[in-house]
Amino acid sequence: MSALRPTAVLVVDDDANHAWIARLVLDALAPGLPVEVCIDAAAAREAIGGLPRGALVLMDRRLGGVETFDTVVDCRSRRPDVPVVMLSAMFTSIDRAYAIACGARDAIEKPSTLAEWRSVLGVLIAADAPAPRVSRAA
Amino acid sequence: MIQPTTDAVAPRPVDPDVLVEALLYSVSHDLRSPLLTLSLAGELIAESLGDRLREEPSSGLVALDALEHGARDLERMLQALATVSRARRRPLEPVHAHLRMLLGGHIVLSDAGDLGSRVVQVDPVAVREIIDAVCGDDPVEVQVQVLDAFVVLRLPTDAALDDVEGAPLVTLARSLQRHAGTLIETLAAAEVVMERCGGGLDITDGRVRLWLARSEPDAGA
Repeated sequence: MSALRPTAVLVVDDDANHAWIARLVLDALAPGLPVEVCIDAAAAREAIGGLPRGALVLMDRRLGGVETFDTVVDCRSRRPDVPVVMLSAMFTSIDRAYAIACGARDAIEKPSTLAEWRSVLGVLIAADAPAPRVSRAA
Repeated sequence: MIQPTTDAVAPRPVDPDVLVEALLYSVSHDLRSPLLTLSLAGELIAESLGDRLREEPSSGLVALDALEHGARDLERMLQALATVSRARRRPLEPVHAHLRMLLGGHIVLSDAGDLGSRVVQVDPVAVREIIDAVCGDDPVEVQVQVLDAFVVLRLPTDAALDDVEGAPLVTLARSLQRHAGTLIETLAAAEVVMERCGGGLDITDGRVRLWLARSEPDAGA
């Protein structure tokens, strides 16, 4: 997908570890880019209203066991200027099509390696993936 | 005192298919989340402490390798479940397809006369994918039999399937550790797809059999 060059990023994920990793990677990719984290849909709805123009939302597919497709619809209707990219541990082709029909810019499976996280988020925010700080011998 | 009721209806037994589908999805999706955390945390530790651990050999480096190895192994097995779950949800477009079209490029062996007119009810793209996954890209000898309501294709494969008989889905379910990431995983997903098209897939004598539902007027007569 094409780069979005966001002015800020809102990470919505009820798995605090994943949200922390996303924030860590975003901080490394784009130092200074404002990154906010919400861990439930209610907080996300509130935060979305206050996002600056040109922000990006990274929305987990499930929050507290509930699908977030409706949250995406709600977000897009209130803030059509804010693109939403859905993330999930698993997407089928049908899920992805549905996410896009709900207004998501894209639906991406959460990568299983840091290199992939850097690559995926780097493409989204148009930043070059930095080399790992310490490389590990084979 | 328990009041007698006249209109009580016992809950219907859970549809095993619905239960399996829900379990497959939950296991492959929900378990992958903590797995991702473990994998990524391991990588982060390696990036921050890897050099120090190598300079001062300790059990830390061994533990880190064990963590990575375990996470990779778990990921491989969860991917196998996700593959089957996807096969159950994949959109299929069954149509009346000529065998000739499905087997184009391969050598057909059959004693059932002219097979050119045989028509089956399948998703042709899905079936071609299965044939390619089993046989590879080069032409192979495909044995074709017409059995009642089915056309059965016996597909050769280079993979060693001699110790596997019957349904690959059952084989996979019996040991994810052994079969995840192998042809058995691919065949288990293919079995799901074939069953959804009214046919089937099994393994016998080291060969893969595809059961395609006939859609000719005399099929099953």
